Amino acid sequence: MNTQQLEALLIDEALGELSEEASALLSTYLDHFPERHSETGQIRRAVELTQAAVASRPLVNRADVGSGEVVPFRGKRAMGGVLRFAAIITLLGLAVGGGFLAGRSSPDSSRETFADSKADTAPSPWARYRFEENGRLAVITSRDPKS
Amino acid sequence: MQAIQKQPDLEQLFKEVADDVVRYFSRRHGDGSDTPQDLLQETFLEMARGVEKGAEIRSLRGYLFGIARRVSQAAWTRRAKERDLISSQPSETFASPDADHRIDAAFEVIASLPALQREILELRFTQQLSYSEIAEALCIPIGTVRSRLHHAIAAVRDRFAAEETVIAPPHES
Repeated sequence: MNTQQLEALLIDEALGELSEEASALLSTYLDHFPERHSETGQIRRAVELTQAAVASRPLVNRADVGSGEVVPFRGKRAMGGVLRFAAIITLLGLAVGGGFLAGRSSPDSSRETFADSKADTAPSPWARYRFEENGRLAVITSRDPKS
Repeated sequence: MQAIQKQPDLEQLFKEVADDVVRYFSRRHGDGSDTPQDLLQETFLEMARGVEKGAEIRSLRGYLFGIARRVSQAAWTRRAKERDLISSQPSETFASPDADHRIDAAFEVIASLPALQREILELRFTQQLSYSEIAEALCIPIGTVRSRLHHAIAAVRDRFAAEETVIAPPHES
């Protein structure tokens, strides 16, 4: 075990994040390698000192809000929404572009498609999307098909 | 576990963690500009709204401290707008006059770390949140929590290892 691995395990153990089995293995390892006790002592003292230093006074203050380092709350969810919207727009663009190209290559195809769509009663996947009055794209869920 | 996630008992949770959350706000808003009790109520109100909207909650404490953090940041922003300035001065300290110089030195090392890393340290050492709870609170991967904590502790260790090397005479063999 190299120094970094030992250090990582010791920190995890000191922070209570190591399983009982892993802790037992670590202590067995340390019993077999007493020369590593000084490293162990250093890490444990560093954990104690860090804890004492953090407890001694506040670490985060209002200046950090404007620093740009603080991760925005629900950032992941907001980004998910943006990505979902971008994906919808991309798919819409591909569908429109594909339809345009297909129509250009075969002049009669649009009529055939129209006839086919009349014959086929299954709703199109795009029937789930509709623009609202305010211009936003709405997704109609199966639970509430009329909204 | 699933039942707790779907319908958390907010009253029970409030009883269990209200003191911790008040302490969290007291540390961050120690200048008396905002009342920790008000911020606590705001946090639980926000949590109740999230639960109503069906928010995905992996860990109640992690989710709650995530909200508390946002409430705290909003309070700072609100206060800064009111005063029309954001102070770069650190908040009032709680350090005792006879604080160990080693703690001060460790604090210097920690204070130089990025804000997110300091928040991780604060949640771990003052609220005893686990890696996964901190990850939930800060919306970051658990691996990031672990690596930032390890880096901070290693930085403190390096500072004192250098000191010990200077103090201790070289061992001749």
